Amino acid sequence: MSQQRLIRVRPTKIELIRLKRRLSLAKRVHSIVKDRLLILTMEFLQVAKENVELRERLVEKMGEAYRALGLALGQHGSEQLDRECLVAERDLKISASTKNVMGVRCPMLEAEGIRRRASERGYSLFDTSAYLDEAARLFEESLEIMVELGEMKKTLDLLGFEIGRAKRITNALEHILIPRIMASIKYLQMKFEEREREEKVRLKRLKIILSRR
Amino acid sequence: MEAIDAHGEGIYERLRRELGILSSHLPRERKSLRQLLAEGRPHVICNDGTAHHFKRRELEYLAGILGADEADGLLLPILIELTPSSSEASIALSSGAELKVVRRALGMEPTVRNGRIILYRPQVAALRRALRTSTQYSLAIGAMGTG
Repeated sequence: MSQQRLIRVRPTKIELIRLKRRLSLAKRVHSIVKDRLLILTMEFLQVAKENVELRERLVEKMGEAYRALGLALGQHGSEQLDRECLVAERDLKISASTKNVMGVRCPMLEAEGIRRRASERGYSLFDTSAYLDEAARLFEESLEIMVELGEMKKTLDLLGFEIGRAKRITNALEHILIPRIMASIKYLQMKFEEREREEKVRLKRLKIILSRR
Repeated sequence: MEAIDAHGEGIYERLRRELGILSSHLPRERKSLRQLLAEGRPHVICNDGTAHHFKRRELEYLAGILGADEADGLLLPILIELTPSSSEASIALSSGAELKVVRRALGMEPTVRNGRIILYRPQVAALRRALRTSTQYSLAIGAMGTG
């Protein structure tokens, strides 16, 4: 029963003021973290939805790309295809930076020049068919989706982690810290009332003693 | 009742830090679309000192919506002010550019009230989807607890 526990403080007025300030801070943080949690959850759901859509698009695109590659393979044979693919090989330029979503630093990936025209790919346009062009185009499009999906996946992980952290904070505040401070304030107030009563009784007794003399 | 020694100032210090996180993602200074388009890696500096980068694709999309003269009027990121207790969000109108952008991104005429574009939750989602790096959330002050 964590609510029943008290914060060990000296029963002084200054401690009571300090506790009241802490309660105010805890309530304010609780309200704000809860609001932030709501926005983070909203963002998380949006990103999750996009993630699913991207994944579906990728599966579909890859399916089309492999079908096109199969046709190209049938047309040219594996040896020629390997040769042409070697020529088309290149390094990819992906720039990574960050974007800030409600205090969560998420990665941002931007791929440059993934899509190329058939003439830019480097293989011979005379010796190859349109099947290979189509397969290359579809794989390039898949690659673009993969980069986007990677960014989304990491964003989803980071948002999920932050949501968990914010949830833990709100739970700790709601179920432990705030009830504990409130109980301590109540305890101190009762202590002061008791002191006041004692003081009153003492004064009354003093009055009686003085009146007897 | 059991007493515990929770005098640790650390807890309260951490709580205070949580308040700081709330505005850490907001830009220190917003930049115009024209300025951002001229930068090699378009970005703004956030309150916590980190950089928030914009996707060039998004900036080009915005430039396609707005004319060259309007590109100066659109300050980025666009701040979507949210009140968690309400179903509405809003965007302050500093020029007509915001309205033009929102109209195109949503594919419909948004409600304008008291110099603000009023957005409903599904519209916020659609806008964020279209402009993920060019928009930022901000919590409305009225929604914050007063303690």
